[in-house]
Formats: sequence, structure tokens, C-alpha cells
Amino acid sequence: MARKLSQVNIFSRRFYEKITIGIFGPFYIFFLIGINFKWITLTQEPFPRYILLGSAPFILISLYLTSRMKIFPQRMGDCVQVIVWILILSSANTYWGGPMRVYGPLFITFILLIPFFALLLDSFLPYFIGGTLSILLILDFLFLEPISSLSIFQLISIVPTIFVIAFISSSLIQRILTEQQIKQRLQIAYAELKKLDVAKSEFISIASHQLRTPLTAIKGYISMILEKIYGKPPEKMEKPLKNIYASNERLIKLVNDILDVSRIEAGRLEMELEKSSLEEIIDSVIEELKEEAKKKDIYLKFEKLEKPLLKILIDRNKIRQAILNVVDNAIRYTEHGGVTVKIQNPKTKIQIIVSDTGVGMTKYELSKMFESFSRGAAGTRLYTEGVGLGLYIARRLIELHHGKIWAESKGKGKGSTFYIELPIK
Amino acid sequence: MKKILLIEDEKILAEMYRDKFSQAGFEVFLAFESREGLKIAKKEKPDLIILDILLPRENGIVFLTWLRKNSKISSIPVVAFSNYDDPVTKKEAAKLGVKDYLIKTNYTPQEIVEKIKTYLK
Repeated sequence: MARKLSQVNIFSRRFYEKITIGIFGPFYIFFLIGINFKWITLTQEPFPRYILLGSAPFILISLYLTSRMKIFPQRMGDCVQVIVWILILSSANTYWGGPMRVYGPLFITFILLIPFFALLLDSFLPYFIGGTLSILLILDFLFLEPISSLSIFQLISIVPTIFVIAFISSSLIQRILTEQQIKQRLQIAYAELKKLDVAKSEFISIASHQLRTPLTAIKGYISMILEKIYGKPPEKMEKPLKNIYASNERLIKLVNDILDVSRIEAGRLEMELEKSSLEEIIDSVIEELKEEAKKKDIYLKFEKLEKPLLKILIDRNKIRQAILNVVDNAIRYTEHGGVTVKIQNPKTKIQIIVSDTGVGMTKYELSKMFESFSRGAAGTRLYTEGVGLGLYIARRLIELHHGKIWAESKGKGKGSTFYIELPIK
Repeated sequence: MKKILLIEDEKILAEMYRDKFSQAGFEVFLAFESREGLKIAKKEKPDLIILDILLPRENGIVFLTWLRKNSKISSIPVVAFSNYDDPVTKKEAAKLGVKDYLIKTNYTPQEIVEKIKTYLK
């Protein structure tokens, strides 16, 4: 792809990389070979050939790194480059002799500072110096050897010095300006984030208070009507009333789940760790859900270990909720047979195993089981209700305890087994 | 007859609980906001206060601090009763010595009555 000259950006790092690699590289190699075969004779002695030769690997590494800059940490590449230029300059300095012995130390000191600038500034600078020096070195060898004129020496030492100063100052200014801009943008972004956070908290409060208030009224009044506080309702109405009550309970559960999820995702859940007995927790879960199981005419049992488990350090309420959600899910997807809860205690872990004789799961469903807002394939679970937040919440609560949760199933119609694994602390 | 003060700004809910509590044999006083609640608490010295948290103007937490400062009524047991279950607010309420923090939707009025009976024992 041909590029127009106007498209070449002389302030870009690429431009100087090209000069460095394209002009200086071949020239330097030619120069080294030239000395070796005595095509080039050096007038001024002692010429520190070892410096030139010694710098060769650096040059090659540097050129390699420059060409592969994308995979190499930029700053390191810059530093290697700068070391190379120091070596070249020190050799050139000795070679040049004369006035460079006066300007040389100053110049070299300046160049020695470049690694710091390279670390401090954007990496354009060392490449610029590299490019400029490449050209100057070539000019040096082309013109200086026969004439050895003082004025050109001075020019050589002054020109890059001015360039260096100019670029360092402009880069510094540029850097300060960019930093200010970044700061401003960060401040704006931070303010935006704060606003969003407030909005989210507000949402949680609205969801909890505004949605729950009418739900409370429905729940309260229906339950009181069913308790016959307002007189005996006609028998025909009992079932519809119970249905309203059940639907309302589902809505309440949904609101609770959504609140839990938004809290978990906002990282607002605080752990309240205490030594607790898992058996007691499971007992209370069974107690709460046994009515559900009874309604569906399935069994719900807890097979305890012979020796009771030691109490472990957990957030009682969160673990209870996780187990409740898993068992509740098992009951929901089981029409015949029932649900069994077991505990296993291999060395450093405790496993709670919830197995059911329900509809089972396909591999795909297993993989999606613990994500938010997912549930079994549409239409295959005619008896399902809810949006499937329960298992997701369970997963997050177990993960807060550094535990694991997973499910296994031999396939459709073959039941499922859920595992909750907690480390013992 | 035990006296109960219910501070609740939602009229429908306030009436509903009043119906239930009266039927269960309590004398019920209603207040729709904190200041009014404090006045009734001073006057009637109820056996238990059921306190909503999100109230117009001063919220339930502010009411609790007022109550605790007033030595004549500071020992009245309070049950926080709200649909707002922010963990921070719950902690604040616990610090101010509420007996319990109940989420309204989780209980039927009958269950609340049973809870109240245990608190009053």
C-alpha cells in the first residue's frame, strides 16, 4: 500500500523507528564489516573498536525489539534503545576527538538522562534522538574524516542538544496537559458513577417499599378473609381466594429475589459469620418446605450422618437461603417420588447433597442452571413457576463462602442431584 | 387490655392491622408519622410500639432516637416493621434496641399477632 508523502507524520514514533532501522541499521552493519575488512581506515587513534563491536548485540537486540515492539513492553524497548545510543555516542565521542572532548561530557550526561525521560515521557523521544543521531553519524563519517572541521563538530553537538531540550520540554508540557485532561475526565466519570449508584440504591428502595406495600395489603386482607375475620366467605370463593393468596406469595418471592440479586450484584451483602450447625439449618429448611412437598404428595427427607457434624463458621442466614433455594427448586421440579437431603463430610469439606426423582436435566440445561434469569427449555417444564433466580442466588451465596455448587443429572426424566460444597473453617 | 401503638403512614395497611389487632384483643393507637407517634407514646404509654421505618418527614430511626432520649417512655419495647430492608438501616435499628426487624410482606397479620404476643410475654 503506497502512502502519500503528506501522510507521513514526522512527529510519530514510527517515523523515527523507520529511520533508525532503515538507515542506521544497514549503515552500522556495513561499517562494522568495513572495519573488519579494512575497507574503512580510521584516522584518529585510539579508536575504541571494542565499544563499537561490543555495542553490536545491543544494536541488533534493539532493532529486533523495535520491530517487535507490540509484544515487548514498550518502556523496556526504549531503555535498550537508549543504552545503545549511549554506547554509540561514547564511541563517536572518542572518535571525533577535538571539540567533542569539550562538549562531549555535557552531551553524554544529557544522553544518560534519557532513560529517565524515556520512562517519564511518552516513548517518542528516544526514537527521535535515535533517528537524528543516525543521520548525524552518517554525516560525520561522510564529511568529517577527510576535512575534520571544527564548526561541523560544534554543529553536531549543538543541534541534537537543542532538539533534545525542545522535545523534552514539549513532551513535559504535553504530559502535564494530558494528565489534567485525564483527571478531569476521571472526575466526571466518578460523578456519573456516583449518580448511578444512588439511582441503583433508590431503585432497591423503591422496589422494596413501593412494590411490597400493596403486596402486603393483598396478603394481609386475603389471609384475614380466609381466617373468616370478616365473616364466613361463600364456599365457592375459598379456592379463588387461596389462588389469589398463592399468586401474591409468588410476587412477594419474586420481589425478594430481585432485591437479593441487586444487592449481591452491587456488592452490598455483608457477611455475618458465626459457628453454626448445618444439621439445624437443614432441619429448619425441611420444616419450612414440608408443606410444599405435602401439597404435591411427594416425600421430603433429611438423612443425617450418624455422628453429628461440628459447627462451622458460616453466615447462617445466607447458607440457609442457599439450601432453601436448592431444595425448593428440587421440590418444584419433582412430581413423583421425592427429595432427599444428605450430608457428606470428606476431610476438609462438607457436601450437602440434594437429590430428587424429578424431571432431570439435559447437559445444556445443566450448564445454564446457575445463571440469572434462566430456566429449563421453554415448554418442557409445564409445572414451573418463577424466573429461576433462586439457584443463581444460591450460587452467589455459596461463592461468598468460597464454596462450590453444581448439579448432575443422568438426563431427562432421571432426576437431578445438586451438590453444595463448603470448606470447613 | 394491652396497648399497642402502630406508627404506619400507609393508611390501608394501618387500618388493616388495626382491624386485626383489635380483633385479637389489643387496644390499638394509630399514628401516621413520627411526631404524632411520640405524642401518643407519651400520653398513652403503650406496652409495645410497632414502628414503620420509611415515614414522611422524620423516619423511624429518628423516632427511635427521640424515644430513647425520653426517660419516661424509653423502655417501651419497639418492633421495627417495614418493607424497607436495607442492611445499614437494619443495623441502626438494632443498635437502637429494637426487639426485631420484621419485613411486612413476609408475615400475615395473624403471624404478626402471634409475634406480638411473644414479645409481650
